Amino acid sequence: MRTIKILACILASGLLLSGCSQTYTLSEMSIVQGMGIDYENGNFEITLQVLDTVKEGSGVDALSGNITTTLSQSAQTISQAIAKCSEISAKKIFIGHNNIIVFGFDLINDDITKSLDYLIRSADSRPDVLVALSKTSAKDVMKSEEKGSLIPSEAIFDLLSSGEETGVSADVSVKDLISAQISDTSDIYLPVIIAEKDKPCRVEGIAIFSKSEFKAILNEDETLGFLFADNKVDRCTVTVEDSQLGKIGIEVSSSKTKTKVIPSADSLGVFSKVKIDAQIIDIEKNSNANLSEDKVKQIEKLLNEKIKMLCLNAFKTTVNQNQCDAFHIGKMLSKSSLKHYREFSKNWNHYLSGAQYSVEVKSSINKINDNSIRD
Amino acid sequence: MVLVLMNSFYSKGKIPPYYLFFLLTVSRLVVVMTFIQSLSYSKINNDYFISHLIGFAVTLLMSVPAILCISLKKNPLKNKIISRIYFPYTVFLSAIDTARFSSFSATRINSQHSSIIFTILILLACAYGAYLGIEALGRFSGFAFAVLIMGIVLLIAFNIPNFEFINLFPLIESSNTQIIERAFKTTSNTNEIIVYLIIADKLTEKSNKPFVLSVSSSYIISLCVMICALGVLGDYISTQTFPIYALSQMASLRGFGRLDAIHTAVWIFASFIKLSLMIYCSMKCLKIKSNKLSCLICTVLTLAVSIIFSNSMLSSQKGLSPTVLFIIFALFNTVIPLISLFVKKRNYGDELLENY
Repeated sequence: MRTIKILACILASGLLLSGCSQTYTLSEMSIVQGMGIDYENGNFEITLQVLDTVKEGSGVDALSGNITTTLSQSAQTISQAIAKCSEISAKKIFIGHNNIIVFGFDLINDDITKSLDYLIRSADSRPDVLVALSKTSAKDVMKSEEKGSLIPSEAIFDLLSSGEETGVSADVSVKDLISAQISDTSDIYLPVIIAEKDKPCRVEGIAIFSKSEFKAILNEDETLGFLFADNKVDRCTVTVEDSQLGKIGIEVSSSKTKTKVIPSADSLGVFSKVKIDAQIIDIEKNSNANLSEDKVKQIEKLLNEKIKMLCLNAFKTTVNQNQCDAFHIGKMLSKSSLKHYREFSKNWNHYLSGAQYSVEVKSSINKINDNSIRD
Repeated sequence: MVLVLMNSFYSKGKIPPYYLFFLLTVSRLVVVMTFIQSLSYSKINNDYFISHLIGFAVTLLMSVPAILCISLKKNPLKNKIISRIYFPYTVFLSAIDTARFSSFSATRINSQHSSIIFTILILLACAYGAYLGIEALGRFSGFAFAVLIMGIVLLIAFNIPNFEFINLFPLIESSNTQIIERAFKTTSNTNEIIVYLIIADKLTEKSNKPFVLSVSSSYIISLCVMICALGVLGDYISTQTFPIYALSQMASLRGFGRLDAIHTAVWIFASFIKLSLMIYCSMKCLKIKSNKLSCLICTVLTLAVSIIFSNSMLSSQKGLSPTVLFIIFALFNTVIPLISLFVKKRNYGDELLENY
């Protein structure tokens, strides 16, 4: 009896754990690394960047150069277009390893929410996939070679992830996008990518939306200010100018921003405190490595003013001019006063346009050059 | 002397109190791991923790009659007729849990296969587990408990970088009525009171501590998991049928990511314990001498009812009315034990037998 039970367990394990039912080998699958979504004339055009197992090669030629190819199809819905890609590649499309989703500019000019339902409803959709906006078409980004890169989508993924930490771009995932779109007060924002022929992709600012409607693209300074105000910057380089020392390159090694929202009877007050640790990297007109304490304090003051200006401009453009609540001001208001939140959220754009922003920056320069530490 | 000591610790067919703790905690935590949002009264949002705490208090309060029944030796389930009245309720509970398992498997894990296949597979395994008896289940529950706690700790720890405190605001979004109704829905998902009533006489030592500790710890752990989910996912959580699974998809530590596989594995262990325990409880309520026959009857009935529930979950995404569920819960878990407290005479015969 015991032998029969043991044999039954072995048989059951063999049948159930081997996963032999409806399995696909790697050569039967198109493994998606990046997805581009464009919209034209009522149709979605999907461009998938998939691994090309034939190109991988073997021996000395193995894993050199771009090992991906692109599949592109149009249909009335995203899922139908993806299914058509499967038909032309004659392989099963596997989206589980997708790194990024890029929206084409024509999609956001129409209505970005058209594509969001797929991101919620599809079983293949993952919340940790990064999203971005192409300044031209998503197809251009997906077809971009990213010279020297094995998988261009991975290079773009790294560009976006590190971009937020260094103050040049934003790192927005599917979860962040849907969360902002559903929220009663918060708004969407997306990093913008430019793909140029024979050049690697680069990030150029942040696209801001108000109630899912595209409003503007923040420039380089506004993007840095946006990220400082949103407590997203880890480290970055800022240049300030002094009448005696000329241009001074300062590396911000850490940054922390705390924001509070205090409502009054009919307006919003937003207060930020930014605390920065920095080090001076280069000074245009100073051949002498030593700097007096007064000079260091002056440079700190210049840095404070610069960061303050960046934050103020970013807030003015994002919130006041375009009524985009990318800073989650609504949620911060609910933290301060639930009563005001409930009242103001009924006409949120009106209160955003009149919101008063003030920022206090406190920087501390810790190193003057590589070998000296400030006393 | 040694033999006497050994006999005082071990009794055939009985389990020590800490096994009861493991069984009940695992059973409760499975509910949060496969929390199905569409079956809750309203969409999950930040005031969920208030509903949860109220639900915790209500559960403890409603379990008092059952605890007193067991302490005063007035267990209503000692009566064969009442026990058989409880039988359809235990089958109903087993069927709901099985339907949730197969619904999750067929939608999230493997959408190419019918949910009936998963129902049959899990019930075959759990029928065997229930047939082996409470001792075997108790031993395995210790292992499942350790694995489940490790899985939950990893899930929370690897999501700490993704946690944003601001996502917990606004703190209150639902009306007071919705919060209270959700609390009662949380309470009616509790199987532990009825399990305790059924297997109370299988404990080597009489103590209510494992039951109270298991309810408390499982509520606290599930509250921590839900707060983590709310802080990480934000408003995105309201779009997810299985929000804890979405949380596990977000978990990552540097290059080590995509931990939904760990969530799936841990959940299967815990589901096996819960379903086997519920089928075992159905067998005890049926009170048939033949273990094999009662196991077969309980499994077949659970299969039939769970297939009906599965179809309902997958097609309409709606469960039973929350009011009906709560009334049934209150009847079997609180009202009948309360009546038994006042009406039933203390079973001195059993007491004498135990002391002898």
